[in-house]
Amino acid sequence: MDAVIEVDSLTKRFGRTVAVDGLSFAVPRGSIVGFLGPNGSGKTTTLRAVLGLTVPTAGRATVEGRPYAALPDPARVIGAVLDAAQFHPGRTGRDHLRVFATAAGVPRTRVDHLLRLVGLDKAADRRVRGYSLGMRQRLSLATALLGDPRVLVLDEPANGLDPQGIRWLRDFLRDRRDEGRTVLVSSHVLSEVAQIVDEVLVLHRGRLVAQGRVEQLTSAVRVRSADPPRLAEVLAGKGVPVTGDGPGWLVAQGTTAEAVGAAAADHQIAVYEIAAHPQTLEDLFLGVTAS
Amino acid sequence: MSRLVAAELLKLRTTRVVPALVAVSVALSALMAALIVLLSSTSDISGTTGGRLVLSSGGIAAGILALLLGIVTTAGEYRHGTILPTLLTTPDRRRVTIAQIAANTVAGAVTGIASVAATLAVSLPLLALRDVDMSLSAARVAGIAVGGVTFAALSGMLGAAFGALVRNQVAAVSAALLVLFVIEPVVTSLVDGYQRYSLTGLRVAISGGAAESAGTATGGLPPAWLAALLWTGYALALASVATAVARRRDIP
Repeated sequence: MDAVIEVDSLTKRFGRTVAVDGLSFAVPRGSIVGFLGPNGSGKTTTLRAVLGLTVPTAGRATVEGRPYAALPDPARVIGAVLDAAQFHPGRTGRDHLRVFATAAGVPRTRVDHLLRLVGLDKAADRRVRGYSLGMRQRLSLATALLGDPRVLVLDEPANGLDPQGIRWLRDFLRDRRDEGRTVLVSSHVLSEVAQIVDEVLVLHRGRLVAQGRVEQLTSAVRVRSADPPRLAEVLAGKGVPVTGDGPGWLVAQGTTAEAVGAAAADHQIAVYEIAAHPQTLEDLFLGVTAS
Repeated sequence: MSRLVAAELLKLRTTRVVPALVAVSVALSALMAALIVLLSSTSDISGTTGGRLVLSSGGIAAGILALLLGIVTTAGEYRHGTILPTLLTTPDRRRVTIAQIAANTVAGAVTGIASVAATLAVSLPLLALRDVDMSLSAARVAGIAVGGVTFAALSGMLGAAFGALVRNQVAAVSAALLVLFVIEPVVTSLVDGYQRYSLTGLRVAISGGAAESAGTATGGLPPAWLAALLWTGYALALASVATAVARRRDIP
């Protein structure tokens, strides 16, 4: 796998609190990866470690094989929208972008282009203190895009956006992915990301509790058989999580009807009904973070 | 590096803080010069000592305001969160600190030029009006003016370094004012010769004031060039500590 972001055994402690606990994962190039988890699960701390803003207690995080601080021209490699204030309230939106365009060596024409792209061209000369939360999010996104980066890291990007803004953001991120760019997007609102992500990483109490392609993680089979306890035992022996679903019924997760049917046939268990029964991302999320 | 300094200068130019502080500094310098010349007895403001007292007042006012400006702008990066896009664009914290210091040095110099000009524009006609003889040559007056601008520039430098280290605007401004107006005068009155190395003593030496203005004439003051060097050393030492600490600190 051509990994753009790699996190290896990352741990971050704040005093006695362990925010991130030995976390390892990789984000493949050209995909949209959802970074999910309840509030306080360590998502923001992890993203900040990737971006060089938080110093890990142990482990490392790299972008295109280097720590963030060692990237020769970071604005062209990675852009980030963080869930935090990052504007001087007395500076105009246009001036905010001009400042960071100057630091990144980006031409001024790109500032005007980005203001139009995020729909802030008419408000560009107003001071940021007069911006709504949604306008600030758009300005954050424009700042992240200044260097036309290959990777985008977005922490709760839909906060404050209206429904049209959320739709626009989804379409925008899909377009980025279709251009071969990579997006890592964190959220605790699953409906925001469920429609666009290719893969998910689910974090809970600083640890990775699920990782993989969405269709793989959410696939499930509902089966009615002559001997549910024995079929459950057979499937569990193959590492397939199984739950009961009413008299005679089982739901096997992360597998296919073909695999369940074959396992039942091998053990001569009669199957009366069987069908794909995919979970939602919400089911998956609630299942792995239930404890 | 020039890109970074240009970006930091643009930050300073695009909020109202800098123009406001420059305006306050100019108004304060003009007011102080007028009040000193008009309310003092002619014996207090005549001669070399009196002339230096009057003419250096603008540079000193500009320096204190430039110091506060440096603190407010660099610590303000953490208050407003602008440090996030700053470090995302330039992750090298040492380079960011150097650029902030350079930009605030320029802002201090601009404040100094405007304030010293205001002091000269107000005090020289008023001194002539009161027939006060300062016994200062044109070269000496020019030296005091240059010293005032230098002091303001170096104060911007020191303020930026201090703000980068403390990161909390209120705490940094309070600590700076406490040191300048409480701790230093007390220590100066208790320890002979301390004013040669104190911020107050160096301030007076750089801006061309008389030794008496530093609280005591005992031990005198270092020459202006040495005072400027010491002040720069203090600023660079603070900046080095700020950079070293910043590498191990999380950005809030």
